Amino acid sequence: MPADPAKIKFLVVDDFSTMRRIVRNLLKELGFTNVDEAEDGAVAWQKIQAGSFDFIITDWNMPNMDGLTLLQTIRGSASYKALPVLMITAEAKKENIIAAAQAGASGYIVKPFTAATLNEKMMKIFEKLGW
Amino acid sequence: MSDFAGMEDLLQDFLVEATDLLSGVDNKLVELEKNPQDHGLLNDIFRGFHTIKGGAGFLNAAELVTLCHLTENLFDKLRNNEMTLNKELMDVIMAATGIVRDMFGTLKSGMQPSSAEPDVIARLKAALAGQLIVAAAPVAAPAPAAAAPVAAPAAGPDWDKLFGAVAGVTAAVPEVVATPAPPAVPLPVEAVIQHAVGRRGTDKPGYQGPASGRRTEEKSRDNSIRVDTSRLDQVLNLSGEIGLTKNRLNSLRSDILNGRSDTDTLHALDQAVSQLDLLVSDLQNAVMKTRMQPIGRLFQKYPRIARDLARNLGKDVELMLVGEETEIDKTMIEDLSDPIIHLIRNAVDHGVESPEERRANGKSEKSQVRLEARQEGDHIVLIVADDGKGMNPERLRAKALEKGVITDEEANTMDERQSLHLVFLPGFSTKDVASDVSGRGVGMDVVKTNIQKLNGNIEIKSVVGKGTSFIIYLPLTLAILPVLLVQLGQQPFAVPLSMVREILPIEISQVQEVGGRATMVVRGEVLPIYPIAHLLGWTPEMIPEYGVLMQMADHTFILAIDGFMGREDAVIKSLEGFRPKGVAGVTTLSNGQIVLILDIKELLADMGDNRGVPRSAFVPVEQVAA
Repeated sequence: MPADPAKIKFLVVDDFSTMRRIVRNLLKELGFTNVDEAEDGAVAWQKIQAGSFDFIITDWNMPNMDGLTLLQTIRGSASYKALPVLMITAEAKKENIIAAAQAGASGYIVKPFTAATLNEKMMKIFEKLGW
Repeated sequence: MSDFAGMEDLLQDFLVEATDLLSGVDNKLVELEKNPQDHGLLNDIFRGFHTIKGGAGFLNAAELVTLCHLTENLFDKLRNNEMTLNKELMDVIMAATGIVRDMFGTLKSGMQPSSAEPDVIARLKAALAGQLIVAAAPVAAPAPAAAAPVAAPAAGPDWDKLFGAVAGVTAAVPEVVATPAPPAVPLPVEAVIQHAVGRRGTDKPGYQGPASGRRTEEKSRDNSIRVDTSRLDQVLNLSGEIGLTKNRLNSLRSDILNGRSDTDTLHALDQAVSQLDLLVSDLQNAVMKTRMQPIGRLFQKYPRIARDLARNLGKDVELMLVGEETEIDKTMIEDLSDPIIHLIRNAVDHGVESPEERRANGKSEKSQVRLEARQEGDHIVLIVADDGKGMNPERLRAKALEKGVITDEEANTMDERQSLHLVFLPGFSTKDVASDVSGRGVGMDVVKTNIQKLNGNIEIKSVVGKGTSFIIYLPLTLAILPVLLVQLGQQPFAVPLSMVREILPIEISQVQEVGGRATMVVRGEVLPIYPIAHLLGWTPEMIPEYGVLMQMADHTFILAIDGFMGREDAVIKSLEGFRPKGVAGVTTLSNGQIVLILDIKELLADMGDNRGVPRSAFVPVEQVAA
C-alpha cells in the first residue's frame, strides 16, 4: 500500500454534508488529500464498485442504506471484503460497538473527535494492515 | 466576540444544513401527530436529532448536544415501541424543537447557547424514565428529574449513557472491539450537573454568561445559497460556449477590418451574432435559475406554526401544502416569509371557525387552510385559502365606516372587491377583541406593502360561509422587470408592466372635468387622468394622445403620455449613491440608450392631491383657438 498519504483514496460517507466536510478537513490536516464523498450507504456502495478506494470512513445512521448495512455489504462481497472501514457514530453504546465489531468494522470512533483521535484510530488500522 | 473563532465556516455550514433539517423535523412532527404509529416518520425524526447532535458536538455546543440527545432517545424509545406517543409527550417534543431552533439563533450570533429551560429538560428526562409527565409548573419540575435516574434505572438507562458519552468521548472507547461502553452504574445527578457545568466552563473566555446570547441575535440575512451542481455546470458550459463564439467574432472582426466583406463573411458574422444572442439569453436564464429555490423550503415551517396556533385557539386546523416544488427567487423567499405567516395566522385566527360553530353550521369540525404555490406564465401565484366563515363585504364596509376609515360616500360606491380590500387599510380590524395571535389590525397593511415591494399584488376572494382566499401574484424574479416604454416628447421612460392594464387613445370628446380635474370614463368607471409631464414636473411639449390605464393596489388611473415604444424586459440597475424621487432605477435599451424606470407610487404620493390637471390640458390648440 502507498506510503504517501496523499495517494490513499478515501471515501467519506455521511448524509450530513457539514459532517462530510468536517471529516474531509480533519483528513486534510493529517495529510490525506485524496477524498471523495457519498451521502448514504447506497451511493457509497455504487462508488466503491466504480472506483478504487483504499479506505472507507462511514457514518452509522443514514437514510436509504445505513453504515452498518454498508459495512455488511462490503464484507459480504468478494472484491471488497478486505477494504478497511472506519465507523463513525454519535453513540458510545455497547450494543452498537459490538454490532460493528461483529460486522467486521476495522475501527470505531465517536463524535465529536479531533484530528489526533482520528489519526490514532487510522494508524492502528494501518498497522494491522501492515501498510 | 465570537465563541467560534476559526470555525465560522463550519458554523455557517452547520446552521444552513441543520436549519433545513430542523424544518423537516418540524413538518414530520405535525405529520406524526396525525399518524403517531408511523415508523418511517419516527425513524426520520430520530435521525434528524441524531444528525444535529453529531454536528453540534464538533462545535462544542454542549447544551445543544444534550437537548438533541434527550429528544433523540425519546424517539428511539418511541420507534422501538417502548413508549407511546401522547399529547403531553408531543408538547414536550415540540417545546424541545423550539428550543433547538432558539439555540440555532444563538449560534448564529456567534455565541454558545446556554442550557435549555430546566422545565423542558426535566420533562424530557421524566418521559425517558417512563414517568407520566404532567405539564409541569417550572417550580415543581426539578423533582421528577432528580428522581428519574436513581429511582428507575431499568426504564431510563439511556440518559446515563449520554453523560457517559459526553464525559468520556475518547476515554469510553479506547479499544475498538474489546472494551464495551462505560459501566452501567447511573451517575448521581450532582455529578451529571457538575459535568454539564464543567464542560460549559471550558467555553471561550469571552463568554458573557448564559442569558446574553439568546435575545441579542441580530436579524442577519442569510447570504449563502445552495445550488444544484448541475445548474452551475450549465452556467459553466454556456460561458464556455460564449467564449468560443467570442473567438469566432474576433476572427471575423480582423477579416472585416482587413477589407473582407463578401457574402460568406457577412453570413458568418450574422450566424455568430445570432448564436451569441441565443447563448447570452440562455446564460441569463441559467444564472437566474441558480437563484431559484423551491418554495417548499419556506413552506416547511408553516405546518408547525399553524398547528401551534390552532391549539392555542382551541381549533382543529390542518394546513395543506400544495406546489412545494415551485421555484422562486431566493431573495423573494425571505421577504415572503413574514407576509405568509401573517396570512396563515389570520386564516387560523379569523378565517376558520371554532369546532362548535362549524358543527352547528354542518361543516366538518376540522378546518382546512391551504397554502398553495404555482407558476402561471411569468408569474408565481401564492394562495392562502381557508374553508372558514368568509368575509362579508357589507360588514366590512360598516366596520370601516364606524372606524372612520372611509366616508359615507365612499362606502356607498364601493363594489365587493373594494370592500374586501378594506382589510388592507392600516388600522383596520373587524375583531372587536384583539387576540394575541393576530393582533389588532396591524399586519394586513404590512402584508400588502411587502408584497408590493416585491412588485407583486394581492387579491381577495371570499364567499360567506365557504371561506376566504388571499391570492398573491409575484414576478418570477426581481432582477428582470418587464416594463412598458412610454414617451414624453422624445424622451422615453419605463413603467412597470405589472401595473399596466391597457393602452387607450385620449380623445378630448371623452374627457370630462370632475371637480376641476380631467377624467375619462372607461367601461363605466370614472378614472382620473394624470399627464406624465405633470407628475414629473416637466413642461408639456404637446397634448398627450395616449392613456395608459394603470392599476395600483388602491388606485386606478390613466397615465397620459405622448407616445409609446413597446415593452422590454429591463435589467434594473440601481443608481448608486443617490436616488431621485420617483425613480426606481435605470435600464439600458437595446440601442444603448439609458432610460429611467419610474416609481409611479412614489410619484403619486409626492403629488398628493395635486395629481390631476384641468380638462383644458387635453384640448388641442386649434380647438382652443376656435
